[in-house]
Amino acid sequence: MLEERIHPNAIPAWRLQFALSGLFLFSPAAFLYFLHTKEVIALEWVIGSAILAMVMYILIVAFLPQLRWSRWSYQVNDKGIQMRRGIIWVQHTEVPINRIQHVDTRQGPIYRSYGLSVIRFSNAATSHEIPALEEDLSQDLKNRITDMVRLVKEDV
Amino acid sequence: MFEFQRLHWVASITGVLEVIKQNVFTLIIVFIVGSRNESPYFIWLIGAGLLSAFGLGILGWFRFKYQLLEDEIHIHKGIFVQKKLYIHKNRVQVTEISAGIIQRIFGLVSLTIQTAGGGSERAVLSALDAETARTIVEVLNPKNTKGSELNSEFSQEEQQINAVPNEGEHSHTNLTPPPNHQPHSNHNPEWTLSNKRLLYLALTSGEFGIIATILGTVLGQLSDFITDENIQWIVDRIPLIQQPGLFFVLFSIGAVILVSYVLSIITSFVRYYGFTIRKIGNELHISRGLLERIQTTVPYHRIQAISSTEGLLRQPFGLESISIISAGHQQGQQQRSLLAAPLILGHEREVFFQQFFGSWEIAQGISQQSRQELQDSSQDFLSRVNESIIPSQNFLESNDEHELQLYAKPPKRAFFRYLRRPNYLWIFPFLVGSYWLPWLLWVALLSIPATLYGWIAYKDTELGLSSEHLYIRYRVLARKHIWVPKVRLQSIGTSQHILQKRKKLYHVMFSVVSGSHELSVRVKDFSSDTMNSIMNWFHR
Repeated sequence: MLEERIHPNAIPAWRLQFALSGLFLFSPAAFLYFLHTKEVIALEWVIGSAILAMVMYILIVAFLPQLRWSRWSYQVNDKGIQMRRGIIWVQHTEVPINRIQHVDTRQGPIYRSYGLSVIRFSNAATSHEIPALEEDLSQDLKNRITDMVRLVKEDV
Repeated sequence: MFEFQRLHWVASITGVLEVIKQNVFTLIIVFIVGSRNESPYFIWLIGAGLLSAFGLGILGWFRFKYQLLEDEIHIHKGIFVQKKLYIHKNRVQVTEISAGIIQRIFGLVSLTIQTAGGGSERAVLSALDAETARTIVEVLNPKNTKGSELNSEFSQEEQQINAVPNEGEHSHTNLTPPPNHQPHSNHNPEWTLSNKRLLYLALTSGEFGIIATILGTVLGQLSDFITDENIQWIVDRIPLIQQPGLFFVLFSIGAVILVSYVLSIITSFVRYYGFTIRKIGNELHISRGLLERIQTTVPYHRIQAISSTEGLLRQPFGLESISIISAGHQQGQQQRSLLAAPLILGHEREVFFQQFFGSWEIAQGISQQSRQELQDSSQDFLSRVNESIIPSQNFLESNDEHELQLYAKPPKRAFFRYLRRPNYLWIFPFLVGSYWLPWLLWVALLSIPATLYGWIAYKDTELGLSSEHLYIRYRVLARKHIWVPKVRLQSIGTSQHILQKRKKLYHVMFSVVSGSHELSVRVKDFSSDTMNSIMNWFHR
């Protein structure tokens, strides 16, 4: 685990997000129900898939946000940004400060209501994100990183 | 020089052809659809299409203006929406002068300027006289102080200063000046692809698979043509096939493969004919092509990494191809890396690197002898499981073996993971499928080649670190080598699966810029000690 954690408000925010986006899990069941009304398949299939979707939905909404939060950590120092995340695949990424091209923060409606925002660092190749930091913190971090990047003279 | 100029009027012709080329699939579809229902609208449609292509091409030429300033180029273009493109020389990655058939008829060239970044517009000046093109290239390549040395790009004189294989295996190349400050040698090293090599290259290029797929699809579309009469016509003429049906299918598959193989040979020939790479000052000049002569200029400080691939068909002959990875890219162009040596013998690589990439460390890869020594010395350290201590034994004396500081292979405990990884590819479909189709049990035989592949992949995976460079050898069907300067590494990462955790193994990922995307190289199942050493090296 690295030094810093993301904001605990991430848990309810993610829960809300998953609760909304997880609804698509029921789409197979809905489709099967449609097939049932056309008398293509039996009702058992519809019930089965609905139960399966329900179980997955409950698991995702109830446990995933907490688990994901507890596995996310990061660290920013003058050398670089380190991020560690993942439940089954634990990933550890490190981006040196002097490779960063630009930093941006972003906020959706759910994050805004919880006072969170996402910070994203782009280097020449890809970008990396730290989700759900407190708004002020992410602004601070953004300024800090931009200041550090400004001192670097290297070119791509 | 400082005025807004139009391109040569020939650009309107290439513009028209470009429009037609872009819409070639639409044209084919229209043709197929149109030939079925014989309505007169079809001809009108084609006519209108061609007319608008003409109009667009000529208008495009009329609206395209460029202006060369002291250290940048301004381009105004666009028919309905005017686009203004300002490219400063500090942002140019790769410049390419090419001469297609049309340009050659009029003695002109086309210039492409590549910049980095995802959304960047490509700047193509499609018809210029060679003189102007060269002036622009000189202006846009900042480090090029000796512009006059740019000898005629299209001179066909092929000096065969072929890389002579060096007999001594270990010629210590401690002559390593820091990059960008190479002493300007009097002679410019040059490497040419001989015609014999070109033939080998064409024969072993893996492209025929792609062409075969395309041909197969096209043939599939020509279902009108494949009628019983036509089949009978072919069957009558070829005595071997007496039974239409299965034999005909086999015959047509064979024909498709043969034709696409021949086509791939021809395309490689056309593409790499007269391949020459020259080092001029701080730039690499690469020229190639039979019908379309292409000259690419890459400044040394724009090279992100160098990679080398030993294709499956080439590895048995000890042949490989070396390419340059740069951030320059062209929109819509698939091939992102730039070939530096399309076909070279493995043992010539050392000389090639000395000539062209003198400052790159671990250029030779890792020799068998040192591999043995290093492995013996690091064996005891690898068996230690103390994660917190960063090992010191593994860092060798800095003079040793091309400044190799760390050598790592996946540890023995990763061996079985390597063996079973390729097997996952077939085992799941197999388990599901064999329930319904019992004959799928035979697919289990795939485990033999898959395990063999895993074994070879384990043997091939290795990693070397010097003070400034990273070297990785790995296998993705073909065996690949990659050299990356430390300053070009964009990010570094590790990942660990829940099952790897027991064995304390990590995947390590390195990412470099390649075109507008990232090239991420992953070495699998390295020990935690190695991982720590790599992280340590990265921080220094």
